[in-house]
Amino acid sequence: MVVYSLYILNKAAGLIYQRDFNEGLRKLSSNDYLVLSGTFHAVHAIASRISPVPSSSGIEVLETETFRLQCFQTLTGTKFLLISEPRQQGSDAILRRIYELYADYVIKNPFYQIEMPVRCDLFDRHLGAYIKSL
Amino acid sequence: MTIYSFWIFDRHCECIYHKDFKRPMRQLRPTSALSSTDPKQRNTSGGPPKGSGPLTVDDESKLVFGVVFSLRNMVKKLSGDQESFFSFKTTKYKLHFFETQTNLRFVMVTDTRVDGVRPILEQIYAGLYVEYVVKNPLSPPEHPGGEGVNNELFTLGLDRFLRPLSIFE
Amino acid sequence: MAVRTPRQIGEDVWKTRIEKVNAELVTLTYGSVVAQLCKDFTNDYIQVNEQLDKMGYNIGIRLIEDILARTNSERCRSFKDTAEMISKVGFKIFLNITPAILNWSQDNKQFSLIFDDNPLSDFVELPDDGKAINELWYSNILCGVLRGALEMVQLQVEAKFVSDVLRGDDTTEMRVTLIRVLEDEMPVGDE
Repeated sequence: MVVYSLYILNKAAGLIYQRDFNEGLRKLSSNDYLVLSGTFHAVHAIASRISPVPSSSGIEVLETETFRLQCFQTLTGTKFLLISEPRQQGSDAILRRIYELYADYVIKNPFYQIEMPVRCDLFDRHLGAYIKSL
Repeated sequence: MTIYSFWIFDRHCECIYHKDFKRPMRQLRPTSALSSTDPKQRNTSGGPPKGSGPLTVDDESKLVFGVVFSLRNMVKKLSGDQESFFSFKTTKYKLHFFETQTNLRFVMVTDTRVDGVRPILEQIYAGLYVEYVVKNPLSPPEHPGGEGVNNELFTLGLDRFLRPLSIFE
Repeated sequence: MAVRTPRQIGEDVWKTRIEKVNAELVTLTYGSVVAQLCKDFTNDYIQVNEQLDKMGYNIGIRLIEDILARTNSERCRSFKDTAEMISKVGFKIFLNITPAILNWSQDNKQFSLIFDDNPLSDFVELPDDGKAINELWYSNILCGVLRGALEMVQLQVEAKFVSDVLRGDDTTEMRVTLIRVLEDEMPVGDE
């Protein structure tokens, strides 16, 4: 299982965390990442709107030749985007674990301001160790 | 297994062909979020209005193109100019995408269980579009408003091609 | 896979995924917080209630992510479902209590939580200055917690205590009212 990157978007489509784990995608500037996140948030919302049947979610999985993107949106509006190799299985479980790590090391950090960029060392370390173990 | 709709967009970002297969009734007027009857409904983020009913073909084609184009650009940014996306999935549908070297874009919307639609789109391009639209001497080189695409041979061919496939109900 | 009731979810998570801490530590810590607030605000108990509510709010907005992450829950279909989740999952996981849900209003937008057991107020006696017994809601932090947590899932509620055994009442009762659903903040795709 190769995970390329993780993005975390807050309710307002702001990119609050971005990290590359393995080579596979091009390197972009931080501005590029911000634009990408905003675009994805908008597209995610419109995807729900253009559904041929009522009450569709936004984009959950995006498949391309070189990667697979899975989006997990929490009930609180936070989005976790996991980019991995094309035919990756088990992204669901990975995203759930990442959400748990986020709830533990980011949200429960009393000095972390909700919706702000994530700069929590413990989160970085635990996340890195988890992805490495895959 | 169901196909919901099929679209072709040209390189000028215009919808030059559209066909609905299994769709609920469409609204006749364009939707207008501001004339929504619910006074409490506010459009805060400037995004699409919620719950304002089914879209017209026009509105939907614009949104579909917007989504497809944005995703295509996003993928190119992340993976390089040669790459594009195959499909994306929500809880209720799957959208499949194929772009030719001439920037002609084929989009098919199906239910979530369908896979492997890309070769079908490629076949529609090579076997139907190129044969009946491009090679038609009476069809213009560009197709503003779908002109030249909506000819009988193409539409019949498309129908006959899709009907026997197991993914068409 | 069978659908689990809130009670089953709460029990399951409580037993398997929660690190436990000594209850006395919680009681003592909370007690010293309330006592310090009373000192800092020179026994202006109305202010103290407000501060406890604010602290609770800050806790609630974080707590909700923990619950969602651990229990993998889906959106509640009605306010009644929400009440069940609050009692059987929320309070179970964090305080190992399941307050009774009673006194639903006609429009199903108001209910009461009755606390037979309140770990926060073990061994507590309110100060004897005649004011505390009428003005201080000792466990008011819980109201803030509910308010904050529910706001993050797009429910604006008012939570307040209407009686407390510490004040000599028969029961400890918190009244929760749904003010409105925050439609414009609902994440896309949710109905």
